Amino acid sequence: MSLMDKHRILVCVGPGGVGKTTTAAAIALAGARQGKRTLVMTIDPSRRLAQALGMEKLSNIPVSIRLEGEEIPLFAMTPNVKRTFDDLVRAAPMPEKAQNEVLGNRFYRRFTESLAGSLEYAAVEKLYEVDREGEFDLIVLDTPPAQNALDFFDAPGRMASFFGGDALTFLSPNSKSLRALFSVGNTILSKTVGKMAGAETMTELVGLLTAFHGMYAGFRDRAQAVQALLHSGKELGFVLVARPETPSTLLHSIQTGLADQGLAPVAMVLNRVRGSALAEQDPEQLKEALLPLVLANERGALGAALDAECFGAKQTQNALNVLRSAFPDIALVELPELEPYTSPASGVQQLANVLE
Amino acid sequence: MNTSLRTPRLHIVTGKGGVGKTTVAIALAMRALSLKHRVLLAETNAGDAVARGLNIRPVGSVIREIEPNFFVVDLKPQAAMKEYALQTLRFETLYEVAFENPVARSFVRLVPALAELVMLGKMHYHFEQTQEDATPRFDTLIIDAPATGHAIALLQAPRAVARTVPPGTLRRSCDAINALLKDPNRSRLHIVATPEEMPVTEAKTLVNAPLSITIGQAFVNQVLHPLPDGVLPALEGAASSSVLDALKRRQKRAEHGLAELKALPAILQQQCTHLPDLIGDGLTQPQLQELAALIPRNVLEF
Repeated sequence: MSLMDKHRILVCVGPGGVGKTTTAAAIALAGARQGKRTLVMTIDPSRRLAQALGMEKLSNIPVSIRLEGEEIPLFAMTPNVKRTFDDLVRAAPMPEKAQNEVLGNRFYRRFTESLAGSLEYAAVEKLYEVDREGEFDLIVLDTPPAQNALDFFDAPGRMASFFGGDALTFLSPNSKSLRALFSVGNTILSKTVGKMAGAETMTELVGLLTAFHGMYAGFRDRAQAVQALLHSGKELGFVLVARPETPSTLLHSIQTGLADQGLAPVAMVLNRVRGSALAEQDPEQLKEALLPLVLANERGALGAALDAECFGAKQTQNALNVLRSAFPDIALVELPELEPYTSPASGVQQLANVLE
Repeated sequence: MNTSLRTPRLHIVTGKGGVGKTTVAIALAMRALSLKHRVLLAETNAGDAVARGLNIRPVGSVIREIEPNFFVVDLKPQAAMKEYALQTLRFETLYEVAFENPVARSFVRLVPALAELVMLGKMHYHFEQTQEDATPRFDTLIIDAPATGHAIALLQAPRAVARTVPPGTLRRSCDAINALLKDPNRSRLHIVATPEEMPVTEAKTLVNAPLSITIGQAFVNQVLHPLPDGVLPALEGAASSSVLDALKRRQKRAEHGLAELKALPAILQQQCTHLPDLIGDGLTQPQLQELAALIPRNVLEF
């Protein structure tokens, strides 16, 4: 059974720079080649996924992907953060006037434009929506390039606690504390925060929080449903992506972070694996045999290259061993390093061959 | 330290995720130490990357001197926000009333760039700090910034917040921080890349982003040098096929990497430091020193 058969949704996570997007595209392509109607999505604002699939750009709705020599049901999309949030507001059970107030609020606009947290949330939110619509047999999600790969799992929870948090209870429209704090204008809070940020700022912020209050129940339910989806091990599986060069300490900390949340990856992909043929070679012996064959002034460079290649092969072996012992029950897939000068799309096609 | 007034003291290090930003930031700090600077190296709430790189226990939000003249700190937004508010409000109890309540907490989370702003604000404060003899507390301040996209957000934070809040204390802070970033005599943005397509593309993105900070040095990490022309033919027949194969692939990677580097923007090619591909599972102190020694003095002193 291949990686693509066990779960309906696969989420690729891992540290920055390991090739999550390329891996996600390759998994999706391999799934589509099996005849599964497959969607790959990313919210990485750089156009990496588009590039990996040979596209100019992607949009907020799934578009069909055509790769050279392939007739396959593959689709891709990049959710738009602002639109995802606007749709949520539009779907909220509140009067249109109140919706427009939220949409026009300066804080709301800046909040949805910013990267902090809202990007991660929009990804899971969109995933939930697409999954519920049920149009795809397989969905592969590439997670944002977060410094800390684990931020992602936490996003719906943080969003729920934000919208369901004490601020909103505190701001219940009938709340006396609210009126006491803001309408009087000379309380400590409005004076101090106002002093830093200006009085209008506070008025506008309270306006937004009050408007959100009407949407709280909807947001909370939604965030809980999204959270449940992330934790439903049957339907959704996490794929941990790493490189042989990824420090083992970092992999261990990701493993611990996952376990803390009751999550474990269903598979691991070690990307850009170089051949391990040299792992057992002693570089000193190689140098002894080979250095005399080249000119004296070339020996330094050759020696360094032999050292580095033997070390790289050993490092790859070590990384594989570390991963195997850390996750003994989880499938480990090795993707080879591509030849230099490979175009991104043909690279994805080559990697998909390995995954089949 | 004895340098001209025109020497930049605030150094921000960024680049694509995984290219070795932290390694470069640490090497830069070590280079500054070798020039007898008092150095503050700050990480940006990024999962203890600096602590891992230096092999020390996690760095907190309080400045710690890990060896003489080498100070580290983690710019955690919550702690920086509190420091900032305390400086503005001057009284702890006032802070508690004003900030330890739900509305203010959501204020801090809702103004998008505020977290980034207070991180820069903390560095600005330490930039201006002086010792009893009126010399600066730190000669050189280095920020191990987040990866490209988030780094751009960080550097745009003062302008973003200034657009959201009306005139007042906070707006004045934005303006002061922005002035610091903008001043070519005080601040530099250093860009880290590897000889690969995506890191080079992100370096271009950074150069073209609407940022007012002056671009400093390009650091190209993990540079492979092609073997001299005669080497591979001389080994043909003598070396095993696995060895030859590995060396040929390496050669191709090296040539391809150098070709990728030609796509670096001209401004980065002019001020470019190549760092070798050092081997190890995490770099050792001597390896970090080796990298530090390759950093030209004029990155830190004119």
